[in-house]
Amino acid sequence: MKVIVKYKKVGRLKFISHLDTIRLLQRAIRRAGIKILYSQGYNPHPKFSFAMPLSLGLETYGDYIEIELEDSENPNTIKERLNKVLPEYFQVVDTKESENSKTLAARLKYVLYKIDLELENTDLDEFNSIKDKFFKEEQIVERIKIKKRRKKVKRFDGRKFIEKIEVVDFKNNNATLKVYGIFSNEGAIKMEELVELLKTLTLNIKDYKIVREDMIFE
Amino acid sequence: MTDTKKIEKILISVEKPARYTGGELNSYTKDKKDINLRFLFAFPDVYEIGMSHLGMHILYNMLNEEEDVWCERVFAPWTDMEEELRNKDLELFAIESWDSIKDFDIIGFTLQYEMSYTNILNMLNLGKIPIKSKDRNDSDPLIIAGGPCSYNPEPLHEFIDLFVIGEGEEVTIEISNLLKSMKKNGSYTKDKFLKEASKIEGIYIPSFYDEKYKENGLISERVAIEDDVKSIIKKRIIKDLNNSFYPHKTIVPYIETVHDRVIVEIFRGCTRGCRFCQAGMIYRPVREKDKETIIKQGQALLENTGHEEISLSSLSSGDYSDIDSLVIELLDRYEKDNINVALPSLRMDSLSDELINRIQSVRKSSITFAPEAGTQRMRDIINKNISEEEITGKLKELFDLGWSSVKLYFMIGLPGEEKDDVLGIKELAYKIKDLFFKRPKEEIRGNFKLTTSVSCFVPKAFTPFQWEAQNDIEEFYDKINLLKNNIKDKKITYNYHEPERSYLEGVFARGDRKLSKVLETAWKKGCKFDGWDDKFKFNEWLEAFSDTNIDPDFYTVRKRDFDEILPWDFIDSGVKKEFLIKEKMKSKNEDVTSDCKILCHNCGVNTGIMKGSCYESNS
Repeated sequence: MKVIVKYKKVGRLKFISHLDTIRLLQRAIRRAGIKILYSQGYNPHPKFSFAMPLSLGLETYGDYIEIELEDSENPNTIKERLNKVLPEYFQVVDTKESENSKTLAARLKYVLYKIDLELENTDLDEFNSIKDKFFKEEQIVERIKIKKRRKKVKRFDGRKFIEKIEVVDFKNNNATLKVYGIFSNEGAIKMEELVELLKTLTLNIKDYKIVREDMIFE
Repeated sequence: MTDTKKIEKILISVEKPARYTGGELNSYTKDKKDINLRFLFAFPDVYEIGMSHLGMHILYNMLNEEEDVWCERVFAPWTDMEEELRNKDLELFAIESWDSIKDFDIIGFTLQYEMSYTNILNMLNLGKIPIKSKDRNDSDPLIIAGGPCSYNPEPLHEFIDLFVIGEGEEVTIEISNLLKSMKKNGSYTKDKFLKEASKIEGIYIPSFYDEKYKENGLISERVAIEDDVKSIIKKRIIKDLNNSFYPHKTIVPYIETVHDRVIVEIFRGCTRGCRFCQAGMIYRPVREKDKETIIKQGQALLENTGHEEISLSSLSSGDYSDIDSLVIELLDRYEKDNINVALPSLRMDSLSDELINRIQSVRKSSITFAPEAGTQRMRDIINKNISEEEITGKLKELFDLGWSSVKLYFMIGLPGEEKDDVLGIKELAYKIKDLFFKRPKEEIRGNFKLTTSVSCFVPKAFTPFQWEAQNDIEEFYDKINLLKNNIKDKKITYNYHEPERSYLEGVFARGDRKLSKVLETAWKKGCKFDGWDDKFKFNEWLEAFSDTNIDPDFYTVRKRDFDEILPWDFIDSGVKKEFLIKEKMKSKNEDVTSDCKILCHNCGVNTGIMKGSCYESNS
């Protein structure tokens, strides 16, 4: 039986990397006494898959994993048992059964972010015009990756990975945005990169805070 | 006040921020208003190393089970974090509360290896705490230290207010109770506290004593400069491990540490009597835990951590009296749950065939042997009671069962060592390789790999070799290169430790009070993380010696007389000096001393500290 687990990871736990999050979950599952299926082979590992990794330093209120249980079980009890053994900054928000054969990553359509911007001398009209400009022309992101001590630069149009940007709140130079990020087989854009793009479009950003809110699946 | 926002800002820019964030499962968060004593356990190396240290887990949980005590942790910040802290003018903080280390009542450093000493000074400085004991007043935290290196505490005497000699469980609670009561009734001053604490057994207050020197640098006498203080400090031991505190849960780190597993200590001490080994002397006598206690403690820890591996800890696990049935019971219990049973410090020669078969069904990792020396003559000198036949016999058996990877550990620079003894290391390695390949073709399985690791011998206090001269750096290199030029086989990997660090370790392992100023000078020159290859600054260390007019050779290559006053002579480890001298003389004659399970050799621990025979068979 497959169960989808939605969880939040906030506060100090935002400093835990993706790999460490995997281990944290593996151990929690073991402590909770939840029997999940193991892969075959020399070094068996528990079967579970992530929808999408989260960068270090971001909080999330809606990340997802899928686990495969040995026996059928009420998903609600899975949530209770996990929360009992998880640290307070890492808690399961929801669990439900899944019958979809596609992986979570394959079904992931949008990743929702909340971005709080602290602006300088910017009103809503000005902001909106910058936002419109963003979607009108190519927005080149240059991502530098260091692989085996060699610098590699990936260039892409950041616009392709943003479905829409909603303004949730805007007053006194403080804007709250809801961003629908697109996750495709070509990857995704990082929200820090979006912020940088907005800055190059002359948006006067003093400070900002990004939180991952939720994910929308097919 | 803790500036959480500022700290968060720097955390995002450093490598592995989870080293500093805390909040792990089974860590403690308490409400400060219920707390009468804030204790900070300080490990002078990075998080990943500190978190693998069993002693920390014991003391952390023990202190936190006291309701009005909050024990937190701090580790040496890596250089990137240090830079951020200094740039942003932030103080080093404890990882639970993120409060400055300055806000604590007491900071306890664990002294596991000499090469972490500079980190202690650096950590204090990062907390804006004066590094010297005399510069700290009643409002500063008390700086205490314990662990194996506190058996020779004098090089740190200027920095540490109070040393704990021996095993820490009981005495740590005694110290914290004393401090709590003095703070509660308002009578606390640093001076009054140290005076009271000095009455507790196992506590050494360096500022109550003075060391006087002759012109040649040798100690002429040690004098008490405070009234009514002990002239001899007796080590503390836990008499009954079954009833001593052992945590039922340990902190589960988020990031990978050196050992990500449950550790159950199965006994303390060692009966082998290897003459180079400090641990084998200072942890005497052997005290075993019952099998039932071990199983119970392991089970609780596995349940409360979710770890996937359980490891048995001791100085030589194969010597546990019921090792076979213990390991088999653990394997029976945990194999089906994919929980691995790890057996470090296990002498392969001590394993029964049944056990070998069982372990092999779980995981065929490499076989480790520590012959320590290449020739029988040398092994007799150091009293490493393992013969070549025992090594090769067992290896043959293991090869036949399908093992193919072997690791061998040796030391060079041992007392009385000659060229042939060094070459003996190569001979033994080659013999083992032949042993593998000179079998019928159909029996040869796997890819043979032999790793030979050679380290440089450092004479340690409280061992029969405490009077010996250490090799100098050149001698070490000669021996290292002799082996390098002789081991020419693709199947044999040869590793060696750099002699420069062993030389420095040798200085501090048998150092006196004069070294405090060298340490301070070296730290001021930027020395820290001296145990890390890429951070070790040997030239700066040499400068520190010459700036302070201290000759490091005085501590390393100089042979001591038996009647010399040694800097650690005021500590009673339980093992008598006469015993060490006797062992030293026997080693000169290449005589061996049997395991003390077989015969008591009167080291003195049974009459002085344990009060009664260590083994029933000996009485």
